[in-house]
Amino acid sequence: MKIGVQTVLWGHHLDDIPGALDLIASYGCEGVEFTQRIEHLGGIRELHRMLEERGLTFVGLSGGTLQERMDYCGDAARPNYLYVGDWDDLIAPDAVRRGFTLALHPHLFKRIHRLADALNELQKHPDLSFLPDVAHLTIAGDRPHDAIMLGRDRLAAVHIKDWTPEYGRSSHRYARGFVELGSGIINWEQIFSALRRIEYDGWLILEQGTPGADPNLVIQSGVKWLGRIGRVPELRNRMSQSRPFVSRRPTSTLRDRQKPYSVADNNFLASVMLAASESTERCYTALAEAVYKLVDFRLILMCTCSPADNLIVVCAVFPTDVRLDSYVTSFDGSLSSVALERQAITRFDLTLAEPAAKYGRPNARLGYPDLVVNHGLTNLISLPVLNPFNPHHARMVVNLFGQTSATEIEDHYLVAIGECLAMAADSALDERCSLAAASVSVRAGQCLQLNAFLEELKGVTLRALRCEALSILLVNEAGDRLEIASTTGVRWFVPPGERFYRKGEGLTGTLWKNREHLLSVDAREPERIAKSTETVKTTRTSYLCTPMINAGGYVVGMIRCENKSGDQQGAFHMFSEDDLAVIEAISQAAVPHIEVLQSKERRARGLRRITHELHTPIVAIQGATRFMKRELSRQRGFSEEAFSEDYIGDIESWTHLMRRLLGNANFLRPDSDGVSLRLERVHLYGDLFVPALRHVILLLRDREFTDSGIHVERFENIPRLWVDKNLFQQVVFNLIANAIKFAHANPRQFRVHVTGDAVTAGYEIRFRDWGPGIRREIAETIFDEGVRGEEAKEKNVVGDGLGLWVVRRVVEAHGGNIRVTGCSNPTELTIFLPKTLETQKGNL
Amino acid sequence: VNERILLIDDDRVPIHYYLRALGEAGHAVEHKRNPDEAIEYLDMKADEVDLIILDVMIPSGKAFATEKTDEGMTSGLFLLKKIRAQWPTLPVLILTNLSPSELGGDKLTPLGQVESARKIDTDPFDLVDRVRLLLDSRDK
Repeated sequence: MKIGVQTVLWGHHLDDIPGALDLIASYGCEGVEFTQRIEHLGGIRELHRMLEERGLTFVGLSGGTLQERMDYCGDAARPNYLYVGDWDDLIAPDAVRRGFTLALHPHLFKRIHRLADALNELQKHPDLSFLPDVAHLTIAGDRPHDAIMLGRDRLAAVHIKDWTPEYGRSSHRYARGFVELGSGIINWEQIFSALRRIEYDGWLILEQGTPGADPNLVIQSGVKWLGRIGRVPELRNRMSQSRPFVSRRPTSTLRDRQKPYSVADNNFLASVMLAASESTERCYTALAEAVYKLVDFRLILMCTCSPADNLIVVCAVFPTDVRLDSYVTSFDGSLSSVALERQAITRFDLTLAEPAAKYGRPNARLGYPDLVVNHGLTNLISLPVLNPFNPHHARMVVNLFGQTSATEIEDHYLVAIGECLAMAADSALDERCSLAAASVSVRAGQCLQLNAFLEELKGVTLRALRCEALSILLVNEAGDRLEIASTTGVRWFVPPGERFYRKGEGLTGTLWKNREHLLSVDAREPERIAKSTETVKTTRTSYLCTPMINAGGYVVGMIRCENKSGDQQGAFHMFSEDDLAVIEAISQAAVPHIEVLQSKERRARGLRRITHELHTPIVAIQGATRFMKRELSRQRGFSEEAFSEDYIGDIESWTHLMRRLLGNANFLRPDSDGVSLRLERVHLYGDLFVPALRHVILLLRDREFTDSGIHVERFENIPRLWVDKNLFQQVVFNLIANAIKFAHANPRQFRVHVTGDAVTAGYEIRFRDWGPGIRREIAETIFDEGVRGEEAKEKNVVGDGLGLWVVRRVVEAHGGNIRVTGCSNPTELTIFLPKTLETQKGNL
Repeated sequence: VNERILLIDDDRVPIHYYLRALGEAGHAVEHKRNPDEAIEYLDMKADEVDLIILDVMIPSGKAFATEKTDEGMTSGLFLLKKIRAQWPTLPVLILTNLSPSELGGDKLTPLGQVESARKIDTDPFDLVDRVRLLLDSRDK
């Protein structure tokens, strides 16, 4: 295999071509692909001479339209291939006839970005070669090794770069996820395995490392990585001849223009910096204003491009009092699209009938003809603002309308303005994404249950995107349905039980299946949106849907937004690619929390089911025991109570103990947030203490204690109270069981006294024991979950520090409290119960 | 006596003791194990039923297959809702292992006043007593 390098490593400009080629050759690489526009590459003959001098192959050329590149190359020197995004019937046949090789390059946010579409295009056009990019295919949801295997006979080269999903898949931010080879999510093992299987000996093109990284370091680390994994051993040998570091060209600045730096420039930079701190919506208007104040133009119109809708959308106008008939125009045939396709500053004379004829687009027209007439505009400069991290992606187009002076401003000055605008817009977007993701995380920390978190997630998303309707859908456990988990502003055609989507069915199901997002800026027209009957909204003006993808690449759910609210004009009355980036940030932040909470709920459900299933044998044993006692008492003429001391009594005692242990287990379930009470009017002694004492008999027997050590008074000063009998039996059981567990080993020393008194506001029940006591410093925390004293460890008492926590929860649910009122000799725990428990409608 | 009780519970063994005690107390008990069987029976003989004893954790059956029953953990509440709508005068006693927390107010409040008992606190003879109380209060 031969290794080539893509000059995208140098960014939008390649000012020092000899230096770059020296660097590439120094690492043993053998070829070069050029991505910068041809006007930055100098003459083709000179370029070719420089390559030959260094023994480098002219592998590929991508900057500019196909026609421009063909004209540039002429017959003098041709690269191995020219990139194309698809087969253009108007020009591709001519290119092939002239001997050019066209290499189909599936690319995100281009018409062909999925493998299936690329293979289909290759099948239709046998003259096309194939140039897969392993990262783009991975991001699009395809497997790059499939591309290599299926396109093996047509491979022109393979672009290799790595990627991590931290910045999401939106057009504005995905390129920031490119990272050093081997440190992302690309499955290299399978890719190299596929290359070996087809005995590939063509080009591997090192394309991009971490955005903004020095090209020297990117090539160095890429070549080292290739050598390290043993794929390209010959490179390792040539590394020893590597040349010294060649620094990267500095970014162009406003100083690059011929005129001296001026106060106006300074003001522009200050305005741009301030604009970046605004909300995205305001940011664009502020940027338009900054440009307006810097240059001598009549009107500034900022547009974005929506690839999904094939539309150009106005996102800001300055002066702001200028009104447009429409803020949305078709991409095809618009002057802005000419500049976007060229990815170069494009000047139009608006007085001509065919202002774009000189760019080979005679049919292209200005989308706002009235504007020209009403404001006497004669010239237009369209400035594509390129993504700082992705030269293949134009973030927006700034249209500068003027009169004759429009042609006087120099290109490099405009380029510098564009770079400032791009960075400001990115900065504003970063702020929105960070804030939204942080909001999700902060709110997740406050939610113990999935439903609560989804409500918070809904709130964060509504605030971040200002949408009219929102649905959060989650894939069910069987993985066969996408079910509504939380929704607002949506009116449904179908009953709740039918609000789900199957994979591949309908718009949402298809996006789920393909793991794709969909941004439809103007959703009124496209059939695929209009046909969807998921809601009854008559005017679905804008639509945004993104899958929530986990670390394993599986779709956990979808977030779907409809119709942007607010009174802003232009694009921000609709969702934008900025919104897509924000919702991706939200989605990425939400997924781990959703998965953790889902896992927690699954475990809770499992625990809940197990504890319930454990109840079943207890109920059966209780039932059988009651029948057995009745039969035996009839046969023997005894009362049923007479069996309490024999084997039947043992069975009952064990059953009671199991009930109480299960009672504690119920409190451990993650879903048992609150304590609901079933109130009964009970006598403390007869209804709570007598049964609870029966329940501890086996614990006493285990320590060789007897119940004679336990003295419980009859609570004659306390009337019957409305409490949950079962839960309060649990309280008494836990407190006495605790005293038994911690008692000194000598049965004669074992003593527990329980007394009760009426006090002004209610009743106090005191539990005293003469065990080892409680250290004063933990007296405040001993009722907290999981707290165990040193005594527990010293005495090898088995437990998890939950019994007293359960006691406190039950007592507090009754409106009372429990505290340590004596730390030793005796240790005293006092329960306070409010007087209101005398009546059923006590203040609980 | 000879009141007819419809007991809806998917268990067999523990329910055996309840059925026996209720039978011995003179009640005619029909045992149905899922909502489909119960609804089919009620469709035909609701007039003859004096009391329904209903577990909450039962299979969803076809009747509630599309409802969010939490994998059967709350199917009985959907059946209760249907009973309340279709046979509003029929008294119902919920007999379940669910705690009051799980059978919480938010689930039951829309269904009106509901009598309930926990199986673990209710042995077969306790159930007979409870049923007697309910039937007597209905007669008054």
